[in-house]
Parts: sequence; C-alpha cells; structure tokens
Amino acid sequence: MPKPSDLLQGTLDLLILRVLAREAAHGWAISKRIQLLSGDVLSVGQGSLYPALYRLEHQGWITAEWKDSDLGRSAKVYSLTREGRKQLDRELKIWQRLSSAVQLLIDNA
Amino acid sequence: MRLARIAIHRLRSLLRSSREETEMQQELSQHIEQLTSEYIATGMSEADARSAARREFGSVEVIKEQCRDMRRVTMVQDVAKDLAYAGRLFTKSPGFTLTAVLSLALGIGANTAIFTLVNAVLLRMLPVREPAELVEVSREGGLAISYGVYEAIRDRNEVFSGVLLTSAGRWGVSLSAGAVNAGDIHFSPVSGNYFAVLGVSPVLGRLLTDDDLPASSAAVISYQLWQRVFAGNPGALGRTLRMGRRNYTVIGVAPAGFTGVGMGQTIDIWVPITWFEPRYLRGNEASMFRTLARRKPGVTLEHVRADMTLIARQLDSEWRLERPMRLAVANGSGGLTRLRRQFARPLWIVMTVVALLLLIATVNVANLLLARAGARRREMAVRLSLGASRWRLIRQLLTESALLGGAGGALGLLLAPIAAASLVRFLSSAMGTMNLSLNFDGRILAFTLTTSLIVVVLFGLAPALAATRLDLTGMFKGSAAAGSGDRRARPGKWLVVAQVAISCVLLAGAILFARSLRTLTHLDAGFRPENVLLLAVGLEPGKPRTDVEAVRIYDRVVERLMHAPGVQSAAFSSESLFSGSSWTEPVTAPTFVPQPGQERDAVLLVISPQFFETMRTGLLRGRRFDARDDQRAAKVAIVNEASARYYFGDTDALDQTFQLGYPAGPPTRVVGVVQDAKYKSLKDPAPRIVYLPALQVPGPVGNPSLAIRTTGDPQRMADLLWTEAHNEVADLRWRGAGTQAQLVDGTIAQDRMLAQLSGAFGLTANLRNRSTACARRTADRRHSPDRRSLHDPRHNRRAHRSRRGRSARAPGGKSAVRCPER
Repeated sequence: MPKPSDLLQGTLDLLILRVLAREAAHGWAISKRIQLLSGDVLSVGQGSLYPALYRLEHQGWITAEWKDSDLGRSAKVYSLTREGRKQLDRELKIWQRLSSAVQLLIDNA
Repeated sequence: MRLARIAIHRLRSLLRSSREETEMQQELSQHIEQLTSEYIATGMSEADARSAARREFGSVEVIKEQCRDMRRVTMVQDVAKDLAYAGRLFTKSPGFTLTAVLSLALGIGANTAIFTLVNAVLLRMLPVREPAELVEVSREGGLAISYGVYEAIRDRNEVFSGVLLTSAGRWGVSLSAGAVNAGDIHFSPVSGNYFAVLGVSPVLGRLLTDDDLPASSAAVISYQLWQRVFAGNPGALGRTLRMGRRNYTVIGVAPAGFTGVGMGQTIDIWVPITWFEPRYLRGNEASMFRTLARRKPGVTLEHVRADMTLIARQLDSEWRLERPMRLAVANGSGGLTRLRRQFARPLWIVMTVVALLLLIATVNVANLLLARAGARRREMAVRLSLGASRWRLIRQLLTESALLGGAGGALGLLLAPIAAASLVRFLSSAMGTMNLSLNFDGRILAFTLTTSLIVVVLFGLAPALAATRLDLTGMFKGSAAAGSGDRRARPGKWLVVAQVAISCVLLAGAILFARSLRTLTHLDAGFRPENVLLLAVGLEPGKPRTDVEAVRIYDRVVERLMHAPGVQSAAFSSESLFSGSSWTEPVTAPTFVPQPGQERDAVLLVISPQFFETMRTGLLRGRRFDARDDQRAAKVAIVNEASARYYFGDTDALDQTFQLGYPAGPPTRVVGVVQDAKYKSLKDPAPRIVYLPALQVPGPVGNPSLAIRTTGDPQRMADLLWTEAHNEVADLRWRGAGTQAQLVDGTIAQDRMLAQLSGAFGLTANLRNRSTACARRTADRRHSPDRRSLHDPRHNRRAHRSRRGRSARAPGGKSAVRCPER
C-alpha cells in the first residue's frame, strides 16, 4: 500500500477536494472515503491529512464548521467553497494532463 | 471574497489561538477514537485497540505542530512572543535599557531635528502649481538683477511660459488698518503677473494683475495677516491699509500655505512693483530684483541656460557693459535660491555631524548588546540544541533590537520638534531672522522610520550573528571558552575601533572649526569693535531743512555725546562698518588706467571728523578731516591703503586728485591715507574705501549711524546716551541701537555656530564612549555567570534562577522551550 509520501506532490489536495465536492465530511470520513473510493489502494495517513486540511482551509478552498455528525457528537465538518470548486477544476485539468502524459510515455517508450 | 474569508480565518486563528488549540485537540482525539473502535470491532481488547490506534496515528504533537505551521500565523505569533520576551528581558535590566534607549533617542531625535530643517530649507517645494517647472534666473554668483535684465528675459526668451519679478528682499514697515495698529509687517513689491505665473489662486477677492500697476494702490494680503488683523472677515476686501506713508486697498487674500517665494522670508503683503520709483524700473542701474520663470513643458534646464546665455550676449553688445553679463539658471521649485545656498553648507555639515553622532550611539548600543550576547550564549545554546533554527534565534535577537530602536525612535520623534525649534532660534540669531514653518510631514516621518530601521539592523545584526554562532559540542562539554569566546571578541573589537574612529573625526572637526573661529576672532580688523555703541538715528520730518543743516545738527549731537560721562569719543557715518550695506562708485584717476573688464569701483563712506579716532583706525599719512572741510572748501577725501595702492600705484597717494561717479564728478584731492579696515566680512580682504567728509557730501548722512566709544559696556549705556542725544536735539528720531561688536560677530556667526555645535557633539560622543565603556564593563560583570560557574556551580544555579525564574517559557523552538534548571 503506497504511503502518502509516495503520492505525487499535490495529489492529496486533489483527492481531498474531489471527496468534498460530493459532500461535506469530517476528517475521519474523508480518510475512509479516499480509501473506499480508491478500492483500498490509497490510504492517507493522519500525519498528512490534517495538515493538508488546515492548509486548504487556510487557503480558503475549504471551510470548516462544528456540526452534529454520524459519530454521535459534534465534529469538525469540512465543505468545499466556491473557490475550492474552481481550484478542483484546475487541479483536475493538471492531473489529467499529467496522467495522460505519463501514460503516453509508458505506451511509447 | 476568497481574500476576505482568508483574512477572517487568519485573524480568528490569531485572536482565538487557545480555542483553536482545543478544537484541534478535539478533532484529533475523535479520529483516534474512531480508529480504536475499528480495532475493537476486529476483536481486540479495548486497551490493545487504544494502543494500536495510537501507534497508527503517530505523534499527536507532531501533527499538531504541522497543522499549526499550515495556518502560517505562527510568524505573527512568534513576533508577539518575541516582543513579550524582549520586553521582560529589558524590564529586568532597566539600566541597560535606559542607556540604550536614551542614546538612541538622542541620536535619532537630533537627526530628525536637523532633517526637519533640511526639509524646510532645502527640500520643500513652493505650494504653487507645478513647482518643478520653476527656475530662477540671476546674475552669475546668485546676484540680483536689474529691471532691464528682467525685461530682456521676459520679452526675448523662447523657453518660458511666464516670467515674474519680485523685490530682491522684503521690506519691513509698520502697518495700520483704520484705527488698528497691526505692528510691523513685511511686504514685497511684485510684477503684475506674479500670482498668474506661480499659479496661485486667491481664497478671497482677486490677485494682482498688470492693470494694478499704474495706480499702485492694490494690495494682496497673506492668509495669516487676514486672520491676524481682520480675524478672517471677508469685509477685509476694500479696506485701506496704511503702510508707512502710503495707502493701499486690500483686493484679495492669498491661500493659507503661500508666504512668498523666498525661503524663511515670509511676506505679509504683496504690492505692485510700481511701489519702486520709476527710475529703478528701467535700464541696468539698480540690481534689486529677483525673477522666477516657468518653463514651457518639455524645456530642460540646459535649453534655458542656452537661451539665457544668448540674451546675456545681446545685452552685452547693446549696453556696452564693462564686464560681460552672465546669467545663471537654478532650479526654482523651492523658491528663490539665495538663502538656501547660504544655509545649505552649514546644514549639511551639521547633518553629517549628527549622523556620525547617531552612528556612535548605534555602535555603543551594539557594544552593549554584544556584552549581553556573550552572557546569553548558554541560553542560545540550549535553544539551538532543542531544535530552534539559527534564523529563529536571530529573529528573536533582532526583535529585541527593534524594540530598543522603536522606543528610541519614538522618543526621538518626541524630542525632535523641541530640538528643531531651538535650532531655528540658534540659526536665526546666527544668520538673521528666519520664519520657517517646521511642519511635521510624511517625509520627516519616513526619514525617522528609515533611520531607526537602519540603526536597528546596524546595531542588532552583529550581536545577533555573534550570539548564535555557537559551537554546541564545546558548549556542552563545558569547555572554558564555551565555544565562542574568541569569535565574540572580534566584532566587539571592530565596534570599539569604529567608535573611537568616528569620535576622532568629530573631535578633529570640532577642533578645526574652533581654530578657524579663533583665527577670525583674533584677526586685526583694522579697527577696534569692542566698546562701540551704534545708534541709528534720523530727524523727525516736518521742519524743512537742507542736508547740510542736518549734518550740522548731527555734529551738535556728537559734540554733546563726546562730553557725556563714560564716553571716550563719538562720530557718525553714512553706514556703520559691517552693516552689510555699501555704496560704491567708479573712480577715475590719471594714474589709473583700467583694463577692459577691470574693477573700478570703490566703497564710499561719508564720515564726521572724529570717525577714525572713534573706530581706532590708524592714520598713516596726511591728516584727518576737520571743520575746514565744509561745503565751500575744495573737495577732499581720505583713502585707505588698498585704494591708494590700486588707484595710485607706486606714486604717493597724498595730494593726488581723482574723480568719483559716472560720469565723473568734480576733482577730489587726497588729504590722508588710513590703514585698511575690514568692511563687510572678516574673511575677505579689506575693500578699497574712499572716505568723504560729511559737510561736503551731506546727502548720504541724512539718516546716519552714530558710533560712540564708551569706557564700559556700550550696551548698558544705550538708553543713557540716547537720552543725552535726545536732550540736545528734540527732533532726533530713534531708528535702532546695537554694538559694533555684535555686527562683527554676526558675520562670523555661522563659523561660531559650527564650532559650537561640532564641539558639543564631539564632546558628547567622547563622553558617551566613556560612559558606555563603564556600562559595558558592568554588563559584562553582571551577565557572566558561565565563567564563575566553572568554579562554583551553586552560584551558577542562582544566577540562572534569578535571570530566568519568571520567564521560563522562552520562545525559540517550534514547541515552547523550557530552560533547564541544572
């Protein structure tokens, strides 16, 4: 299982933004969903997740709120802002260019 | 929107950091609990699950720290922590803090004060439209121009959009408006286009135009005068002002900031240039005007110079001038340049001196900080070893410096206005009255801020680098040198060298100024200025009398004064020596054939017979004037050595004849030769002077200056002697009193000022070296527990406790660092 540091630089941001684009979630749920939606391939360590969340919040792409949650008590729930949505689009484009370029190289090399 | 959110977010992180901390803790522990319950679900016992969850999660503190870093408000928090820590440190050593802050405050305050003056005198622009377009055209050397030259510049130039004319100086007159006596004011006659060229608009009424010239009865008053005399009442318009013997009608009020075009020479009233008699307003006779011109857009100073050179050449050939006319062009954005030129040199010198003084203060503080840095090596070492970066420690030390510099700068800013005001008084007494508006503006604030900042970096950086350049291994092995003893000494040594060097420069400067002052004051002026009272007098108008009759009256006054108690001798003359004004005429003599362009003029001084005796100017040959030299006798004159040499060469000047004036007047015979006497300045050689007897040339002595040599302090006898004179002639009018010594002193006031200021500063610098050397020794002693700790561990413990007891939490590492109590 790849460690988060093996993820390409900036990919973690993309994953978090993409997960939050579907619906707001707290930190635990985000890490679970990344694992789940990637078919248990990707797992984000807590040591990377929370600093990344704080960074994204600091940059204004996500915003946090204390809400009642499925954990049975109030939890810090993150949701995407309008700017975050735009940022997600940008990151997706970059990712697609990057991955198709890598694929191209693998196919043709 | 995003920016706003970010700003709010960051502000909240900053202000509610403790709440954020709690929330962070809560969020992370929830995560751990979820992990735990997952493990429990796989069948682990709760204790095992909990420890497994913790293992998987990793170090909570590290993650927290990473999260904190992500918020990027740590910088601000760090600065706040550093400031608080620095504040605690400084309050614990008030002696050091006081010394440092006070010397910085004095240095920065002095610099700000002088800069306020530099700003007001040299940098400030006129409050007019596009001041940068203005230039001043003067004769070479910054001399005033004649009306003819003005006309030529105005009518022939191709580079100006407008050329204005103003009187070269300002006139003082007593003003009354109706029954109100408004006291003495200053006015200046100006051309009709004066305000139009400057682009100044009135706050009330209208300003002067060319239509006002023929009648010469319109006057524009300054905003200040309007407020002072008319209390800002619009009814001032149309009021009649009585200025001396003439009446003017107020037609408008100039805007508030506008006080004329001469630096330090505030104008209260502007009147049409036709205030001058018509004979001054034509030709090249009277050079008593100054001109400012506005460049057309795109015209450079070089263009202007070329154009003015052309005009000067034309005037040369048209007027057949003896000496070629040269016109100088200077930037006029700050107004007329004469006074600025005069003040520029002393101001820059004083500015340099105070800058050096500040540099010494800086070095002093650096030295003190360095001593402290030595004592704080252990603290630094502990923090470095706990993982604080060196940059982080340097930042902490620089914050401490900034706090010192900030306090010094703020205090200096408070001191500056007081210092500046007293400096202006000092300068005024030295160089004639100045009205400077010492407004505090953005430029001064920027100057002080920049200065303080530079100072902080200068005195803060070296000690900070020295304190953090540590050999940790050596430090903790407890080696005697504690790692950096020798390295620390190096910048310290350089600082001392710099300090001594700058002090030496200051002292040497002070000694030079003092020496040149001493030379000047011990110079033989050719007369003895001590104990001579000068009374400027006139006669009340009313009784018709001829000039000769007036001279006879002054003769009577002098006769009476000579017999007054305490008086050695008395005389009168058309001007007093060193009064600054002079009357010159060309001399024609058979023995004198001037080369083209050679100077022909001599200074003329009309005197009463007792003048040389009173001034103690030695007669070398021939005789003095006496009662025989009256209006009926043949014209006679006495010349000084300089004149005798210049006009008569090797031939004996005695009994030679010459003519004065252009065209030449009647032949005049030399009856005496006197020693040279300085006339305007102690520094310049004595000019050629021709003395004429008052009875033969009575016109210029209509308002003479009485010179009375007294046995005691002349100043204290002024009232007594005035009463004596007034008792003799009831018509006598008082125009002022002073002493000859004051007049002579006035001309070397600039030198005296420089000598005094540089002397005071040089002394301050050296005293301060002494005092900080003491302070540093004390600081060394107080702050070196390390050295003693080698022998006495108990002492060390105590020292540590007393120094850090309260401030155990020192900012530095990313997590708070606790200084260990060994």
